[in-house]
Amino acid sequence: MEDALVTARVLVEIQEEERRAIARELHDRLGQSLAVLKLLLGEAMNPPLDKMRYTLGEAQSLVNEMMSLARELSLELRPKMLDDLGLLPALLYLFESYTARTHVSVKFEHYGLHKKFPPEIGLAAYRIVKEALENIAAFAGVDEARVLAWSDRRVLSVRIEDRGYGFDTGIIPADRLCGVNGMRGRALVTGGTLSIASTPGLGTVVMAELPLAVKPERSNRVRP
Amino acid sequence: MTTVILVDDHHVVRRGIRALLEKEAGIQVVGEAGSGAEAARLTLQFKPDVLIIDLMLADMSGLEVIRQVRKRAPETSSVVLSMYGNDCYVVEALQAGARAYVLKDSPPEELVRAVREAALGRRYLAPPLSDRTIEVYLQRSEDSQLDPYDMLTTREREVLHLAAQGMTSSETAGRLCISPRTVEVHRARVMQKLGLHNRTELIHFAIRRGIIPEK
Repeated sequence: MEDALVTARVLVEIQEEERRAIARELHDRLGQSLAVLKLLLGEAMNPPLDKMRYTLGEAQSLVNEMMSLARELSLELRPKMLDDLGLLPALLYLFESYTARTHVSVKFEHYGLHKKFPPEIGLAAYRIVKEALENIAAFAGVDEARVLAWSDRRVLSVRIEDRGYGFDTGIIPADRLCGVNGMRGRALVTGGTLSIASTPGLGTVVMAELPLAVKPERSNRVRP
Repeated sequence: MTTVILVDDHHVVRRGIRALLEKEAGIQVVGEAGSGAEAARLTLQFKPDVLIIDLMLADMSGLEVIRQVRKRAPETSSVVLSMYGNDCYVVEALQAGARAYVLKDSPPEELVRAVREAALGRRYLAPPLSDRTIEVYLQRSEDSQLDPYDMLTTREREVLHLAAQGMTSSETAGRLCISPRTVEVHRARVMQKLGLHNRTELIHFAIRRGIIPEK
């Protein structure tokens, strides 16, 4: 079991490092080159030739699209605002882009998130919420999801629910297994727990509790 | 004459901005920096009217530079020039002390306008940013009043429901196929999360929530 835990941790770390690298590439190279290209195009538009102006205008709007694509992709791969600003801004942005993309609205309630969480805890919470929401968009058949997140000194908890189709948790369908295991792995490597309760026809609740303080290990040794 | 220092870790971006600003009357670029540390040093040395700065710098966050500048060179106004126009960055930058916020894909004249406004000590957000969206963001980031029942896991709710019906720990354990010790742990967590102290309070809570009927 301990070996499996170590392996899971390593895998998660590798995956995150790759994502970080891609995010950096996208921001540094694609995004910046496009910004310069846009400046140049702006310059070239000065001679008032109608046709040239039209073509350049088109090119410019294309560049705008590519810049926002670079931005979106970068945030998708590694939510930079999670590193820069923390969990709450990252979640708020996640919901905004999720709703725009899937048309599933998110009713969000939170308490105690205005603080800095350990990076691996914030990341685990973010990824669990994201995965659960993706599952809702793909399988639940609803247009609203509910997310709750709260913390006290000891635990950061997230709860993601929908009133959609639901499924039998005894036989998790193959197309969801990877996502479910991913969420479990995320919770597990932080020393937390994740539970999924679902009833066909009534919906699904995913809840994770991630410890903020490491519990002192109980010693089995007898004191002299 | 409005003096400006440019900060971006990409040389080509600085060159583009310098070319843009040098065409403007009354604006003079007096320095460039490629890192946050250099930006802070130059700004404190030259005390320009305006500091144009990207939030994403390799060595430190542009936000940190803005905070330092506000504290140690308050006569300098910071203008953020960023790839990211998400409300959270804008809010964070304004709270750090930035006067203006412009996106890298805004039309070039927006940056010029932001520099002129900031030099006069005025706040400026380049479209599509606006005070209204910032306001909405701030509202959404305020704490909510959470229902304590929502904080219970599914298992904890089961334990609560059975306890409210009068089941003992070992009866509950038998029903849920878990050990009585585990039931005790769940029950303790339920009490703690709901802020309850004894069985009477638990029953009252269950009645209020409609978990068990009022006698």
